[in-house]
Amino acid sequence: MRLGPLNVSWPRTAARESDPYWDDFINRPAADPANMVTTVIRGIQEGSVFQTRADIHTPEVMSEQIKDLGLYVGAAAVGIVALDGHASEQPFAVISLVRAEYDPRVHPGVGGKAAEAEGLYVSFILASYIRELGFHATSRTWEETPTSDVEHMAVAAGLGALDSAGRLRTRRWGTRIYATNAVLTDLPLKPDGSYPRE
Amino acid sequence: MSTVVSDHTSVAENGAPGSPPRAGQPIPPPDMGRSVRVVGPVTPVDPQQLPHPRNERGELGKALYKYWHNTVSTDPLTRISAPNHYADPGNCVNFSVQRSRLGNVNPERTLVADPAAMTRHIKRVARYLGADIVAVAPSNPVYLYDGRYVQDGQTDDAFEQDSTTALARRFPYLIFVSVAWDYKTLQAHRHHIGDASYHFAAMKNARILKTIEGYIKDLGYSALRGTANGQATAIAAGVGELGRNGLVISEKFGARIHAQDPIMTDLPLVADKPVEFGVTDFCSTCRKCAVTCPTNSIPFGDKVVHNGIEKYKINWETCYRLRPFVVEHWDSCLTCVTVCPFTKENRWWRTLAVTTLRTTPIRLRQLAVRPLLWLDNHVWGEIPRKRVRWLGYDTGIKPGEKACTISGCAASHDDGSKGSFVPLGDIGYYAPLKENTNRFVKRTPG
Repeated sequence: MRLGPLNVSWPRTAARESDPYWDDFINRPAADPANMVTTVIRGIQEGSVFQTRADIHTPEVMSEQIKDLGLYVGAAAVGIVALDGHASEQPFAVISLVRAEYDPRVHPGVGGKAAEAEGLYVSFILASYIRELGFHATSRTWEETPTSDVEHMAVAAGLGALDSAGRLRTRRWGTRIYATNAVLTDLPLKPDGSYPRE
Repeated sequence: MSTVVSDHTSVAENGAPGSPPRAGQPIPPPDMGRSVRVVGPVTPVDPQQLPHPRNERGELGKALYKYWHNTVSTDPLTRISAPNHYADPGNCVNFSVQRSRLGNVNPERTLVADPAAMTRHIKRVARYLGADIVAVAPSNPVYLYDGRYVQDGQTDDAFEQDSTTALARRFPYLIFVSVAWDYKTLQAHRHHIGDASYHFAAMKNARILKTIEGYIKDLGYSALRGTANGQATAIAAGVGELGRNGLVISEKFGARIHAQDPIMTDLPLVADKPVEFGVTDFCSTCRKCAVTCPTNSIPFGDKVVHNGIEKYKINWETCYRLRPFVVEHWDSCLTCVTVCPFTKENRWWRTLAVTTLRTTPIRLRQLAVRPLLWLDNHVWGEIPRKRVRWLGYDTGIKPGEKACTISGCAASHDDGSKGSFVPLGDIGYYAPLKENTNRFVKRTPG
């Protein structure tokens, strides 16, 4: 609830206690995984790079635009790291954090996985936009870049820090944040930090 | 959680408000409030006669056919967000989400002993997923298509041969969900920035609806898509009223909401009721949308009766036919949405204005309407002309011209446009496009 410039957290305990279906919504895995939007988005075959490169701005400006677009489509924070030590065609990683009331790694229900679905959605849009600018980008990185690595990238990008339990903690959202996957790209960007990549 | 099949009979016997009609009883006539009234027999609309399907078949002429099938946008943001203007559908997430069929209905049904509690739960789920509006309408044949239609998507189910009456009985509830378009970017109507406001909200809405559809199936209930008209459902569910511009004017967000295809279900719920907050009274005086429509598609006169329904009726064809002529510069007009006085940021003064309108007795409404309209014209202007800059786009640059107005950008921009600042006189209402749209004769309000 907003009171002018203040964002006041409204107590949720009473609402949760009166909703007998909420716990299953968060914690009960779907009987048919095909009913999960995460399954749909993970199954999308990524499109191709647009054949004509767009007239882009400086890396500083493009970095701000990528971050602005990420925030516009639902990210809570966006950061960029340069991938050091890797002579790759895609030297940058864009990390989007989404708000996560529940950690998708421990809450397998439709509601528990909502942050994962949103994160996949945000990163897919960012990767698609970069491809349409005429540069390479992929968001299908969950196999080679697990969430824990993405969280380390988020730390390198200055989006937060790891607490004593190894969870990513941000100043604004605390640990109620989730990093689904990184977008790897060769779009010239100005990184917020660097991350060693093998 | 128990997995006993729910019993609708107990709900019907209770006669609780919003409960479905008992077997053998006629379905009650639809209640759509003041802005839309059913005054005669309604023939269910064949969705294949809607504008997009007709255009897909080439029935609306060559220009529109090419616009639909052969237009790849020159704008990268439009290519990832607008249907039918992508270069590669693999870069348009909505293309895949809207066409996904999801899985099967869970054979183990979740017990719903209290439909009111389940209704609160579903609304909480929708808001948790990011929806701004969620409401439930009772199914009624008047709201249903004679067939199936999902814009930019597809659907199939085992009940496609059922009549609208049989369908309404079998699945007594329609869940309407919507995401409000971003207000600031919407001010750039007739521009790629405004297109982004429209299309990205549609994409988010589609994702939320798909998630809820899958969740209802996981609860063990059916979730049909493509069965009902989104606007009719929204009005019956109390989301808003129908405005002169042919759009649902919601109480909180004005016209800046999508009315995407609702979820039809047999999940036991309690339906909401239509809402009334002065749209009919305001629209009878205002006419801002009719005056500013570039194609003169919005009526200046009173409501008419069409297919048994009394409502404001726009000329959809003249509205639709603008698209091929402007697709090089933008995709969706949105002027009637942007100029609508109800379409404002969700601030305290807007709430105060709408509350004033709603609480004024109907016979005294014009005493509230006219001062509010005067205020709207003098504060926001008769047509918004605000310069909007977003993501490197700038409405201060005329379509067809190129310029980089980003402070601090030192890129060479090979076409030599760096640093060419344009005059501010044509912001938001482009002179070249005025020439293109002058062919649609404007009448002054009578």
